[in-house]
Amino acid sequence: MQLLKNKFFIISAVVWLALLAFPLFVSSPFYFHLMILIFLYALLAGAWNILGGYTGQVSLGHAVFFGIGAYSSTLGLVNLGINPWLGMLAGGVIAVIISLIIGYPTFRLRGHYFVIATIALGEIVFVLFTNWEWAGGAVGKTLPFIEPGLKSFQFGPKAPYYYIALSLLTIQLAVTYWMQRSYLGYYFQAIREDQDAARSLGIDISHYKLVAMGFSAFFMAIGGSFYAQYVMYIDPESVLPMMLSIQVCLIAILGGVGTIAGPVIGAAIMIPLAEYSRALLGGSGSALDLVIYGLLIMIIAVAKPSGLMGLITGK
Amino acid sequence: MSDITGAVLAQTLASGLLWGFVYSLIALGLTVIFGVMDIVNFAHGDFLMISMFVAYVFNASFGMNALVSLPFNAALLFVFGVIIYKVLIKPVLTAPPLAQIFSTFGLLVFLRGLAQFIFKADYKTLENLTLQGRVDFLGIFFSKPQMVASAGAVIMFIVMYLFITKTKTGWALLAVAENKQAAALMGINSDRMYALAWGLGAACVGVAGALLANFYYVFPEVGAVFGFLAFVTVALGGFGSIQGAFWAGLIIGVTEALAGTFIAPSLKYLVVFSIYLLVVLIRPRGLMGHTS
Amino acid sequence: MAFLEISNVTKRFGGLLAVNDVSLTVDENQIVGLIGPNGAGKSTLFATIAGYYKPDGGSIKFCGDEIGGLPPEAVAQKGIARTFQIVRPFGTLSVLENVMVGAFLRDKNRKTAQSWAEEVLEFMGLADKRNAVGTALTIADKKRLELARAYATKPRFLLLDEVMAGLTPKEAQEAVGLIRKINSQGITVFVVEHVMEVVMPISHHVVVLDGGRLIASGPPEDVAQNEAVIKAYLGERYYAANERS
Repeated sequence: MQLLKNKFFIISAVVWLALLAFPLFVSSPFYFHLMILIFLYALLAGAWNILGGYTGQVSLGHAVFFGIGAYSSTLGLVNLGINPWLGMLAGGVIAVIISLIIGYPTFRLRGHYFVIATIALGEIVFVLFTNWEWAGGAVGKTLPFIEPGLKSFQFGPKAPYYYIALSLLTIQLAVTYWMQRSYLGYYFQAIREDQDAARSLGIDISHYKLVAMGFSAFFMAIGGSFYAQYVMYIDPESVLPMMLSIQVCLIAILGGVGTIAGPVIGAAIMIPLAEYSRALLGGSGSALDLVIYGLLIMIIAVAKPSGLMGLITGK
Repeated sequence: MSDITGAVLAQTLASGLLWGFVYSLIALGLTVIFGVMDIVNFAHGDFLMISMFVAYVFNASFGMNALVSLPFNAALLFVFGVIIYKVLIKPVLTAPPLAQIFSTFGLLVFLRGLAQFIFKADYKTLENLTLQGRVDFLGIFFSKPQMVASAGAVIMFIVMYLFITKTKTGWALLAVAENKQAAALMGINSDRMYALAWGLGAACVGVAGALLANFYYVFPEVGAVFGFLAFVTVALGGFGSIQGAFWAGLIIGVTEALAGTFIAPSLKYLVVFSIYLLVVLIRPRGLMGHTS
Repeated sequence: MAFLEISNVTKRFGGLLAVNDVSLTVDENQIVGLIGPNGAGKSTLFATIAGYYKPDGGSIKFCGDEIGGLPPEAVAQKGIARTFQIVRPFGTLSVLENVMVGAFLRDKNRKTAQSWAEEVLEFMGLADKRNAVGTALTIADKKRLELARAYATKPRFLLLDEVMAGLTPKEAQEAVGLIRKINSQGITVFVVEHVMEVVMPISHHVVVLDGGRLIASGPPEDVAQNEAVIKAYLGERYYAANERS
């Protein structure tokens, strides 16, 4: 067990250093974009994983928090003139608060009732933002071009975005690693495995579900703010659709729920797959992705619920 | 002024009711499966989508009216439901809940992607339908295809209700739903009953799809909204209750229509989704369901 | 102040009175057995004490604190641990990790919780299986794990729900040994049991339920001779037939 952990650390460290050096050797914008997307989706899937993978509460409406993050920093900047970094933090806090408000009543629901409730909430938020003029409604918000630089969170070349995305992902992975090793990780998994047994050991399951939810929502929102600053345009279709909720979930499942590396591996496979099939086949490309993902997910559900990480670690 | 409002109200109620019958029928399949075994088919809306595309293909290739292809739809979907049970559901019956959720969820993604890949995302309609137009009754317009769909829905409900309550096989289904082990002791093969439940559930949706294709667009994402409406309907009516699905569907149809007319068309789904949340939070077993 | 005081507790389900005006006291450091024929209300009383049901009437006092109606996690936090009749290990976690979940109740620090958990495994005879995954254990080991996990919460009072079910005679004897060992650590044990041969020898005090009512209470030898108890288990006619002979 110890040996595996060390091997794992060594591999991770090597990969991380390679990623740091990557921009020094590559200049193609396409590859930068690809890596940035991989980092972003790994971050999002990792965030979902805290609630869905570790704690077993499957949310199919998690795009809500991504959207809250994106809208918070964007509206803060466009409507209120607030610095986007502050907006990002504010977005994280707002997402946490909203997640607790949503979680409190819905965590009483078990199994599929909860899942369907998250779908309902996702759609409700989508409709709300589509009809909210101050937030741009269906048209969305375009971010203004400001003097590029770290302070304004805008850059000409892609390299800075690359490093920021990598940093955010690293932070999320570190937090998840700490959480998994602490009593929180054990409690979350106990809740996933057997809620009544968990309660008999003194675990207040509602409380800990909310804790997981808070962490999860926070990182989704951080990802949302980053996305807004990277793409410079947001609307409900791009930051709140159910498809996003589904993708995030799929990546985590494919890579391996309840593991740290799972979401990263999942993103590293699915994002290039998606981008290449879109580049090759256009609109049909995105359909082909779905066919492959769906097939993979069904196979995983039936044969190997622990995903790719399960195959790697032999669990 | 009140005359006009009255007329609008009446028309809204009429449309809502007709849609309600369709929702009931779609929900019927979902509630049958759930009633017999504690599994939610997340891909239920996409079963509907398949049926609608089948109707489209028969129409485009052979000029078949959707009502004529209806038996094929039902039979095809029945077989499909059984296959899905054997290949996807049976293996995950003993797996953790997470795996059960993934399984039909993966199916949802797969089916939608497949439909989009084969047929592209655009909206299709069936051509040369003999059944078209509206009936004017006391100043209220009833769409003919919708009326046929409603009649079809009512017939299916009666058929399913009689089957479940009056035939030996139906009783066997109920027995397995009630208590699998006791049913086994009585010689009932629960595996076959589960397969039957999936087949029947899918067949109901198959009928719904054939009827719906007469007056609604056929496209890959069509399963999304109808699937969700089916969940809301089943939740409201009570998971596992046939009667519940019937009345809940009508309520949802009327509520959606009223919300669309008197609040705003873009917000009508908001109302419906909010109903789901209210129901599961306040009265989890719905109108007519049993507590688990 | 009694260790556990159950006063006039009643629990009904619809029209059925599962527990009917039951009063009993448990003294500290005892092993108390709760027996009774099927459907006597043992499980219901057990679940009510553990917090899974709210009593409809009466009170349950633990060291002076009212615990009737508290949710299961609050009951556990007060120092009352329980096992389940059908074992419920955390399937994907290892034996050690399972026990650590219990250990974390009293100590949120991972290192110290882990060393306590290792001690518990040693005490329960599971040390060599510490890395085995929950689902891979035998029934007997799963029961052992359940005991270990509950013990790791450092309870003052341990509720055992039909621990002997499904065990071979040899395994049952091992379980008895473990229960005695736990009791020797100063933990009061409340054993709900079906298997008389096991309960009687280890209990200091036995309580009998029948039809939701308490029908006998006392040392095992007395309860075994008790007329009402024999009638409850074996029926009026058997009692009458044996009385005559």
